[in-house]
Amino acid sequence: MSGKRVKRYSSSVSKGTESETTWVTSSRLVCVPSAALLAFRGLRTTPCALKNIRAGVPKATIHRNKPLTYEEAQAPYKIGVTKSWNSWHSANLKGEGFDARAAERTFDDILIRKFIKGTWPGLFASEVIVKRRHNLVVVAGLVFQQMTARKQYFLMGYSEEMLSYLLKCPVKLEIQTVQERSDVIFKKI
Amino acid sequence: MAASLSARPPRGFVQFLFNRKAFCTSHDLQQLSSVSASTERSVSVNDKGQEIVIPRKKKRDSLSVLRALASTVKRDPDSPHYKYVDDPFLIPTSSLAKRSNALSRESGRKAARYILENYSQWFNENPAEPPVDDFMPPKLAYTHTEPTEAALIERIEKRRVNDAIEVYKKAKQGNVEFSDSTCRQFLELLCVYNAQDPPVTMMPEEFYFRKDLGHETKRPSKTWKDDGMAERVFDELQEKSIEDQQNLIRGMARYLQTDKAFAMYDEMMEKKLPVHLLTFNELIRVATFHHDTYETKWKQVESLLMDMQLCGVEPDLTTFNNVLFSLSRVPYFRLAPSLLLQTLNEMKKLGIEPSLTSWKHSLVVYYPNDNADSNLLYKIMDYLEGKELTLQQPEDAEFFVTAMKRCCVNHHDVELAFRIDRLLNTGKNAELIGDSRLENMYYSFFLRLVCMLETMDRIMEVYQRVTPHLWTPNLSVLDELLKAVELQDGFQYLPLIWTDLLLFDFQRRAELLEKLLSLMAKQKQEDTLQSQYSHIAGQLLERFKDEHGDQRPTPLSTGPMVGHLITIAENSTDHDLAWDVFDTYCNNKNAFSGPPSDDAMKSLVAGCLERGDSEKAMAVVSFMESVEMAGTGEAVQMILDSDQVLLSQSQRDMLANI
Repeated sequence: MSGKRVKRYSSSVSKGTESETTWVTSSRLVCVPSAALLAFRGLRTTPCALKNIRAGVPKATIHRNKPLTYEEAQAPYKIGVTKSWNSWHSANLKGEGFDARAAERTFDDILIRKFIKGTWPGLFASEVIVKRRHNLVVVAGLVFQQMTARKQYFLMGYSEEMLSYLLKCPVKLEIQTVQERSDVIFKKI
Repeated sequence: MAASLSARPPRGFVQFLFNRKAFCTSHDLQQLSSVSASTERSVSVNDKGQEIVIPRKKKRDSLSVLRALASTVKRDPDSPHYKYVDDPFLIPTSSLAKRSNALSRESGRKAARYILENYSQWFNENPAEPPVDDFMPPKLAYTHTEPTEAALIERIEKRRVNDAIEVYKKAKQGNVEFSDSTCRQFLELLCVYNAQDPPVTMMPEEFYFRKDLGHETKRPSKTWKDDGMAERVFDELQEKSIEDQQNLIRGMARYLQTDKAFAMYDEMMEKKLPVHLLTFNELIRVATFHHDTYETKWKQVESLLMDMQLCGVEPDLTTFNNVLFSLSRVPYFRLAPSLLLQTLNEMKKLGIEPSLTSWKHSLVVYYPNDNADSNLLYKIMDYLEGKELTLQQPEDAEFFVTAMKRCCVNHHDVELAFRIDRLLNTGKNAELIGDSRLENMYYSFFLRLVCMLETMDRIMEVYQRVTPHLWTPNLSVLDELLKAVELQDGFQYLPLIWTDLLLFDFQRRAELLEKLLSLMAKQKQEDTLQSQYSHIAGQLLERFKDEHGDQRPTPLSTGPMVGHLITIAENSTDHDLAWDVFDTYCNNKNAFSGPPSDDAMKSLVAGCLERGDSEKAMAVVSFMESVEMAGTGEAVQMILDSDQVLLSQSQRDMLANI
């Protein structure tokens, strides 16, 4: 795959007629809808915003002071190479039919992530990892030590029970703690 | 892509497959040959006239695999209990943290359940196939709201006693008649729960810590509701079957309305009605609550057993355990020990294996007080050693603590204690140790005994295995441990004990800390140990400086502790630290109770003199004089005799005045 020009349909900017589609190489933009066209459609863009066109690849800052975690620092194409998935289940494997409920699982994952982000406000130092084993859902992640252990245990019990009631299956939280944010910073860009 | 895939596997893959096949065949051949060899052997055995016994196929249930897997897992004493998260920040070590963390988790669950019950409309989406009812909001509302028979049955099935009573009363007012079978069910419900709603089921951790939370099991007392709903329903029954009468008797017996229960029972016996085993069991259990004297109490048990024989009812384990329970309630009864042995023999005759409850009751009978002497505990341990036990009755959990208590208090036999502990750690027996209070008592007795009678190394071996994850020691055990250190010169363990004090959150216990520091200050140790001591002293001083002025009292809080710190510092030839401690003490005299010891002050003076610092030596002496210490004169003499300092005239005058 490397080195070759691959035509990829990108739906991030626009959707619809053939003329509006964008063609993207693996590394740089070939063509974007003209600014006039975008303005006509009520979209305002700046050259700066257009610079960042690839999903999951953060934009570097001038002073190289934007902190990234290990997970954020790896581009999406490194999944399975230097980092792993944030949702682990078998619904997307080849041969798994409609029964595997791939779409519903994705929606459940969104729900779990939103729930965890809301229940543990600002406490998760990493992405929320969702793993499914049989009928069990394991939610894993790193948590800051800002709150006392007792309060964290309360939230753990609450999240487990609440998610179990929402998803109708046993849910377990597997949590490790980190002392401060600098512990999870992998690099600055 | 498909083409490339088919082209991808090179010859190596085929080779691999081939090799694998070859390996398989050779492996199979090996097996075959071994089988033939064994057959030959067995045939040759067969020639001698012995039969080959082919083992029968074992029947396995759906849980066998899980059980087999579970049997490979053992409790690791070096890791926290699985209810805690295995993360340094989240592992609790003090008993308070252990309790509060476990209960916090449960209370989080409770909070979620509260939301589920009060906002159930948001949880009705059910994608599960098949549906799991336990994850659905509880159905609190009834389908039948009118006082009808269906409504009563619904409430009985949901075990809502108060609501059932209400429906029953309303139906009686409205002249609704119930069928006999429904009335019987209702009566049974009332008798089982004593005409009130059953207590709310506790969450597992809540149950484990219930005694610490104040949910003590109350002393048994009569709680049966006389002329209450149960008796009313019974009276209103048109046809009173044997089952109904027995239900009522069991209810009365369980809630200790013994007079009525035995009266009804006698009535039944007079009419020669058959009585069920369960009724006998309940009655035997409460027989000792019925009469006044030991003799009459036992007579009642005996007569019940005779009646059982007459009725041809076979006793079971519960029957015998209830007989033993009755005996354990009268441990000072002259005949109790011999009757107990008779009961155990009877069990043996009938082939009923005694449970832990039986042994616990036996211990209560044979060791009625702390001075009683008997060899029963040894015999029980001979019998139980190496067995894997199962929980059969709630009282089984009290066996280990009773055994350890008797071993510690009556026998003072440390080998026996180790035997009991080995039994506890056999198989899954550790689950039988009971709730937090019983566990606490068990380990407290065990470690106290070990600290009193064992060598220092063995003590520390047990101590380090048990703490901090299996159990958090209490003050009395740590006190015993320090006594053992003092007695056997185990000074090398003091730094470890100090870190444990921090872990268990005991550093504010002044008496314990003072004892620990006095042991550290007792004599000069070899260099590495002494430097550890002085490090600890430094830590304590730092903490005092940090925390002084806060609301909480600091660990360093008495004068003698200050004295010990000075001695420790002087022993480690860290004079600066010693002076720092003294200086801090002089500046915050109100924060400490009592003065430091004489010897500590003298060693400080000696330290000052060694450095040739007459100013500081003078300051110490004047302090000693101000609190009127007995050793002031000696200290003054030390300064005057010292040839390392040159005293000015004014200083000499001052010393002369002292």
